[in-house]
Amino acid sequence: MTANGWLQIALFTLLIALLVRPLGGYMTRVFQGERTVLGRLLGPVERLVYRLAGIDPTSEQRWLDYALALLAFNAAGVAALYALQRLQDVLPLNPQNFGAVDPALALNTAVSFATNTSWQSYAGETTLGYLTQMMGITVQSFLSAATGIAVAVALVRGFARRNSQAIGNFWVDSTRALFYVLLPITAAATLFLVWQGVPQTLDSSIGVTTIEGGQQLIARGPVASQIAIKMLSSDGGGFFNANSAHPFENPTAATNLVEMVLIFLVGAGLTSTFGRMIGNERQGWALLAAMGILYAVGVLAVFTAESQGNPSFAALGIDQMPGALQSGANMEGKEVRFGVATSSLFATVTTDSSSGAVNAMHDSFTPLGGGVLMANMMLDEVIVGGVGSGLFGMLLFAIVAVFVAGLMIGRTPEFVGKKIAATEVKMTMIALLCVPLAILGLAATASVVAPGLATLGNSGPHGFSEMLYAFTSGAATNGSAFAGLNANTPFYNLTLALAMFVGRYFVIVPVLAIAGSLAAKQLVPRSAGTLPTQGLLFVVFLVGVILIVGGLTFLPALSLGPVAEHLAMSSGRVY
Amino acid sequence: MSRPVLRVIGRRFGETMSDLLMMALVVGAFALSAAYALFCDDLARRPAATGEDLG
Repeated sequence: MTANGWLQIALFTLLIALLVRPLGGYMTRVFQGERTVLGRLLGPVERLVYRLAGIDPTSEQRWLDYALALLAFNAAGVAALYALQRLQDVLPLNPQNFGAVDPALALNTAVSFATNTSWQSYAGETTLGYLTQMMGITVQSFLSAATGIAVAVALVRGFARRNSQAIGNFWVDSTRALFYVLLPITAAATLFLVWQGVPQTLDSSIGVTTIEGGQQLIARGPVASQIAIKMLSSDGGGFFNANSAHPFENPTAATNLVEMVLIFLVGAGLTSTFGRMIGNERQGWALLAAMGILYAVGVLAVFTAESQGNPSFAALGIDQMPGALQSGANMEGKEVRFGVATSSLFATVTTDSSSGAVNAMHDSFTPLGGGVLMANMMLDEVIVGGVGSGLFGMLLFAIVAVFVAGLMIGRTPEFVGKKIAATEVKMTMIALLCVPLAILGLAATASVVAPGLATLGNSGPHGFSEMLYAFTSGAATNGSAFAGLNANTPFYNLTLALAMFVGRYFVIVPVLAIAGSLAAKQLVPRSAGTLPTQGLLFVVFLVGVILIVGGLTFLPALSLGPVAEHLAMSSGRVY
Repeated sequence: MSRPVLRVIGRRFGETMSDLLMMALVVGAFALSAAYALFCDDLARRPAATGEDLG
C-alpha cells in the first residue's frame, strides 16, 4: 500500500464530500418544482414534452398508480431495446453490418439496461451497431436512472408529507430527473471525455497495419456520450467489452477520477436531497455517514488484500511488491496505468454503487478482494448505491434499524417523525428478502444443473464464486462480471434476466407502497422516548444492522466461495 | 420504413418461435409485477392483527 495510492483514494473521497451538498440542494429545488438555473433554458422543453405526451404536471398519483406507470414505462423500454437488437441488421447506422442479436441475449440485454443493471453477456464492439448503442443502450441508461431517481424522490415525499394520498407524478419526476439532472451533467462529462481522447464518431472501425506487419481492426464509435451516462447513471454498461479498462473508454488518470466521481455523484447527492426535503439536513448526513463507513471499510479491505499479492509467488521467491521497476502486488487483470490503488478504489466504488463498470478484471482479484466486492453488492448496494436505488435501499435498512430498536426499548418505532407500523415493516421485509432469494436460489440452482456448470472458467470455490458473483451482480442490479464465467448461454441469459427483474421491480414496488403508506400519516411530535436517528449512535447501529442482515444471509455462500478459496490459497492451492 | 424492411420485421416477430417466447416472457414478467403491486396494495390495506402500536 503506497502513499500515492492513499492520496488518490483520499482525493476521490474529498471530491465526493465536497459535491454532495451543492448537488443535493440543486436536486431538492428540481424535485420540489422550484426555480433552478437551468429552468429558463429547459422549462419550455419540459412543458412541450408534457403537452405532447398529454401529461398534466399538476396532477399527482397514488402509490399504486405511480408504480403501474413505472412498470408500463419500463415494459415499453424493454420491448424497444429488444426490438432494436433483433432488427439491427435491417436498421441504419450499422457500419460493421452486425447481424440480429440472438433472442435470449437480446432479452437479457433489454432487461439488463431497463433495470439499470447493465449486465453484458456480449462484447459491445463486436455485437451491437451504433443505432442500438445510441438509441437502445444509451437511452435506457438515461431512462433507468431517471426511474431510480423518481422512486427515491417518491419515497422521500412519503417521509416529508402528511395526510397525503399522493406521492408525486411518475412522469413529471422522471422527466425532471432526465432534463435537469442527468442530461446537463452528461453533456458536460461527454465534452470532458472527448477532450481527454474518448472517441465520438459515427465512422466505422479502422483497419491498421501493426508494427509487426499484422492487420488489426480498431473499434470506435459514439463512445464518449455513452460513457458519460454509463457512469452518471450508475449503469456501467460499456461500449467496449473491456469496459473502463479500455483506453478509448478511460484514457487518462483524469478520466479515471472523473468517471469514479460520476458513479457516486447523484447517489451521494440524494442523501442531501433527502435531508433537505424532510427539513432535517442532519438526517441526510447521518445516512451518508453510514454509507461512508461501509465505503471506507470496503476500500481498505480491497486495497489491503490486493496489495498483499499472491502468497504462492512469495513462496517461490518472486518479488511482487511495488517498486521503481514494477507496479507490484496483485497486478493480474489490472491495467499497469491504473495500478493496485485506483483499481481497488474503482472496484469498490463500482460494487458499492450499482454501476458495474470496471477498470480491472474482478475475476483476477485476490479471493478476499473479490469477496469484499461481492459482499458490497450483497448488502443491497446501499453504500451510495445506484442512482436512487441506493437511497431507497438505505432507507429500507433505516426502517429495519428503528424497528429493531423499537423492539429493544418496547416502543412503536419512528423514523423522521413517521410511525413505522406493520405495513411499512412488511413491505420492507418483502423488498429486502427478494434480492437474497433471487441470488441464493438461482446460484444454488446453477450449482447443480449441467447448463449452470458447463461454462465455468474455473473449478472449486473459484468456480462457485463465478456463479455466485453473476447472480449477485444481476439481482443487485450491478452488472459487473467475474469474468471467468461465459454467461452468453440460454440458461444464464434467462436466469440472469430473471434475477435482474426481481432485483429491480420486486424491490421498487414495495418501496412505493411504503411511500404511499407514510405519506398518508401524521407527523409524530418528538418526545423523550423518540430514538434520535441523526447521531453517531444511530449511524453505528444502522451499519450494524446492514452488516448483520447482509452477513447472516450471505455468510454461508461466501464461505463456500471466496473464504474457502482464500484458505486454500494460503496453503498453496489455487484454482 | 420501406416495405421490404416491414416485411423483415413482420417475418422476424411473427414467425420465429423464440421471439414469440421472449415477448411472452416480457409481457408475463411485467404482468406478474403489476399483480405483485396489487398484492402489496392489498397487504398495505390489511389491518395489523395485534400489537401494531406498542407506544
